[in-house]
Amino acid sequence: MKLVVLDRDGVINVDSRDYVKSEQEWQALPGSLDAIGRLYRSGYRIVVVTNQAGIAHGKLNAEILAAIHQKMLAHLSQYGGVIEAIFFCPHAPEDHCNCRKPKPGLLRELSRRLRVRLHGVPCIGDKLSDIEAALAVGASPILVRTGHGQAIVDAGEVPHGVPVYANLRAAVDAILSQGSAASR
Amino acid sequence: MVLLRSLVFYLGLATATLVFVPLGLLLLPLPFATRFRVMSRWSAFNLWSLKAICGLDYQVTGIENIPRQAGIILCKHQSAWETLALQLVFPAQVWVLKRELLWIPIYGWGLASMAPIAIDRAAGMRALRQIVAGGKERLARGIWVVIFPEGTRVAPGKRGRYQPGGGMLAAETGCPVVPVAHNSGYFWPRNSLRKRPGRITMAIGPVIDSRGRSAEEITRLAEEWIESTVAQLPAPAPPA
Repeated sequence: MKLVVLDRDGVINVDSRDYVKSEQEWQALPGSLDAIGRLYRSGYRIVVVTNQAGIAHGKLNAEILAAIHQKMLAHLSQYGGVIEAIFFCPHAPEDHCNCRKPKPGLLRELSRRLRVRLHGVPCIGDKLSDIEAALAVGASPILVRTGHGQAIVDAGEVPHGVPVYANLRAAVDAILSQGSAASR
Repeated sequence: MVLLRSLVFYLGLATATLVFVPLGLLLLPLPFATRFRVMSRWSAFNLWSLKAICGLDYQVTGIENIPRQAGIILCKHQSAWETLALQLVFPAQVWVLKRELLWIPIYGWGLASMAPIAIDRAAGMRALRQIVAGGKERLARGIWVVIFPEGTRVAPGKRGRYQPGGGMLAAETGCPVVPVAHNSGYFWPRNSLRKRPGRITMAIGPVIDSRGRSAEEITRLAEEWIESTVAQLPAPAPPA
């Protein structure tokens, strides 16, 4: 069983300092939807795990978030891609919940609901919190330079052994070439 | 070949029914959730044999949308497939169905043992009251209620008139509503034995909060989500 976990903002779509809080504000990063489509057609299951503190801060509500995700899924379907599930944390950092990344709560929820093991599963993100959450459950973090990724690379904060790629397209290329190498 | 495979599938289904119906009657003293766990293996077996014999598989998206609290499932109805699949995707549940189904020998007895809300479709307003009263009682026991708002199976690409029963039950109880879309009709057409090989997609939508909403609004929101999602699902061309 092949699974890939994706962060949303800064990986699939353009991140915003003031949260992505409407359908109009959701804009795919170049090449990201095509990459997800290729991943899906290569037999991978794809799940999105995203922090959405904008909900706690009253910038958007769960229904607007659902509409944003509906747009994402509709655009993705044009590239022959399917996202199996989208797990989000609606809390702010000061809520001290267990689900907000870098806490592994959302990943654990994913593991339980989809009845999958996360050991070695690629988790693609653009923040240290994505990497830390992945490491906490024994998954394999991957950093992309889009979103906040370049700033982490520039600050020299990338944890040892975490691969870095230019964007989601490059990360997907690497996963697919490793996958085909492993099956040979 | 497709026809032959489909006949073998139905032979398995009939055999499993002969095993499970007496089991369902024997287990009647046990709590509903336990019986559901056992009896839904009938569906698990049939979906497994559907994949093994007919090459018809499925995938589910949006499973994270299922709330912990028991709710009302408003599901597109194109074939018998979704009545099986819902049992494997959602927790313990009962179905709103036409009472005539319970009169089918053997199969109907098994169905009757699973506490369905059986309605007289010709009864109009009285049928709606049956749905609300029966649904309320089951939701209070933590059992999900499955309603096919179009009332009957509808061919792919078509839309039936969405009936008000599900929305009324939701508005009355304030329980969460979960809309479900799929494209089973392309692979398991109604009134046909043939099962096309392929992969059915079932999509589970975001919860519709029924608190503070009218029955009409809940039904409309569910219809909008289901129909716009169904329109995006793969629609394979019929076999030549």
